[in-house]
Amino acid sequence: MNKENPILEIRNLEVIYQSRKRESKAVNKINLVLNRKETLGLVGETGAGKTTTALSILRLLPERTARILGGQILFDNKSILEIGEKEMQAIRGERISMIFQDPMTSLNPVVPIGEQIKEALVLHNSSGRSKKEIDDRTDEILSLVGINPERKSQYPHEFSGGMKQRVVIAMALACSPELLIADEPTTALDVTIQAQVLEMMEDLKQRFQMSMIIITHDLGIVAKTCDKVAVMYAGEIIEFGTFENFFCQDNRHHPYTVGLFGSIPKIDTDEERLHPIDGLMPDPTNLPSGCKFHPRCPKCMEICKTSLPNDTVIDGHMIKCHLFVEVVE
Amino acid sequence: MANMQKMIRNKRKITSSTTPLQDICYRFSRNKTAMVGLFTLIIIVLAAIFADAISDYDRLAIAVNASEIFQEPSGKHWFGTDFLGRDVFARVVFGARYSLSFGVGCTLISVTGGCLIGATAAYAGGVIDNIIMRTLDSIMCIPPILLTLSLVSVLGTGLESIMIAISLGSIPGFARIVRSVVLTVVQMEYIEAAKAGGVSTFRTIVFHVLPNAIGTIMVNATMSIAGLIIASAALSFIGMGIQPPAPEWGAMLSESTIYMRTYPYLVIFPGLAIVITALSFNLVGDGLAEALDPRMRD
Repeated sequence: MNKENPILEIRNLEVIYQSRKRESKAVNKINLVLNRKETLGLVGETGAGKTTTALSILRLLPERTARILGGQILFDNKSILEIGEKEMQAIRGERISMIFQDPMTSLNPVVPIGEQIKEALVLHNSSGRSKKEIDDRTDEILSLVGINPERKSQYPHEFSGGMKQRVVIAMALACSPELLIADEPTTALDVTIQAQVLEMMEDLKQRFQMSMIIITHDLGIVAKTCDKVAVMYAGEIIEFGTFENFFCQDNRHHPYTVGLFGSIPKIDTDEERLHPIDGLMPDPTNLPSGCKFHPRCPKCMEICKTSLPNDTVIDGHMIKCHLFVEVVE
Repeated sequence: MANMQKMIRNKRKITSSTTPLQDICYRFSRNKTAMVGLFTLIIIVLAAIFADAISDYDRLAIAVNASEIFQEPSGKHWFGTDFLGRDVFARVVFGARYSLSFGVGCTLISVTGGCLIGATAAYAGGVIDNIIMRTLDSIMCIPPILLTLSLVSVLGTGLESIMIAISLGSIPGFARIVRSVVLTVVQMEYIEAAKAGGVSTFRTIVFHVLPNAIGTIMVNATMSIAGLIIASAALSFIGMGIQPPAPEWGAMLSESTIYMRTYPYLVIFPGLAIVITALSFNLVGDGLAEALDPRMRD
């Protein structure tokens, strides 16, 4: 891994949603680094700020309500929050692509799927492909995702959910992007199709040598696909580490991560009940003081209620929790 | 009709892929009342186009013929003759030209105007949206007939000015519909997906938003044709529309009211023409609405 040239770097990003006089703090000063050819899993509950982070990278936040208060997003060492809209359009779809949550609604119902895939190719035709070459590329990408190219003149309603997700993936991959953001790519699919789609994405990632951010709340998907994991809670990254940090030897975890793992039902033990994390995600318009997780934390200490913990980094494994501050010192 | 259905059904078997348009045609063709409406409409349109072949404008529809006044419907004069001896059938046939061009023309003007204004409001949002919509709201407060009458008295009673006067009154309604449709479509995830693919705003509107909004707009346009035909007939009825001796249906009704008790056929035929035309446009509109409704898909 070449640490010198990360494909994506997020520094102190802060995003709020404004409505009337209320402010929702969606993303609070997060830092992230993603190297080339790596897959990052962004994990967290609904409303933790995962999708907001992803949309900020593409600069697609809803203009009327969302505001980026501060921070930087560096894509290939270029600050993309500062470049013009035209330049951004050239990056979207060609160098950064996104797969949206629901394949049922992310395809235009009145345009044949082949045309939809072709659109990105025609718009980002910097290498001057001829019409024939674009058609060939469309066929190629369709067969890559396992769809018979003869079906390209068909409309979205003629495909099943899993097939639609393949079309969506084909659209995102058409221009061989350097970074692919997948926002819960398998949430809307059933389990068998999930496995197929994940396998295919992994395969395509190898083939295209791209970096990937997978947004999910399914730790199983993270375990299957990711090199690095970031756990988000109430707009903050509370734990960040490698796959090994999370799933192998390391026993040090943020209490929230412990709770997440604890809530997965185990197949080999006889359990009567599930073990959810008590309480609910805090209201983003009125976040608790100190550590955002303290009202729900089983290991809450006095200090947690008043002061926000710093990032504690142990061998590249970052945990934002007072429990581990002494360990380092 | 049955032939058409058969053709479409066969086509479905041959090509595995059906376009949404084919789908809509198929569903429309199975709707009997809508097909009746379409069939009637085709006859009326053909009559309007080939009116010169069916009848003679100068000799029968316009010329005063004192020897043949108030003739009952017969083999010679199918719908009888009026107080100036003009053939009512000829006048009804030629009148279709006025009514159809009013209905279609006014609808085109109001749809175009409504689309532009509504889409602008939906896209601009904020203050501009507020200004546009509140202005339209205040226009909608004026009774349509009053608005049209005052416009006609300013613009005059020519074909174009009557069209503009009638259309202006129905633009606000269309603008509202278009605005709400565009607002709904813009929220869809595929619009966001298109933007994420690097598609420009203009292209997004033309290629992704409009094709998805066109269905609703078309249904409303078809339905409004009927209303606008009636509005133009009403305008002629009160003497502010097409001027005599031109054979406009509303004007024919108006001229004949004084003879209504003795020669009822003088009002029955033009009245029927208005009702049947308006009804068939409404039937077609209903059929379109049903055919376009995704819940009706089978």
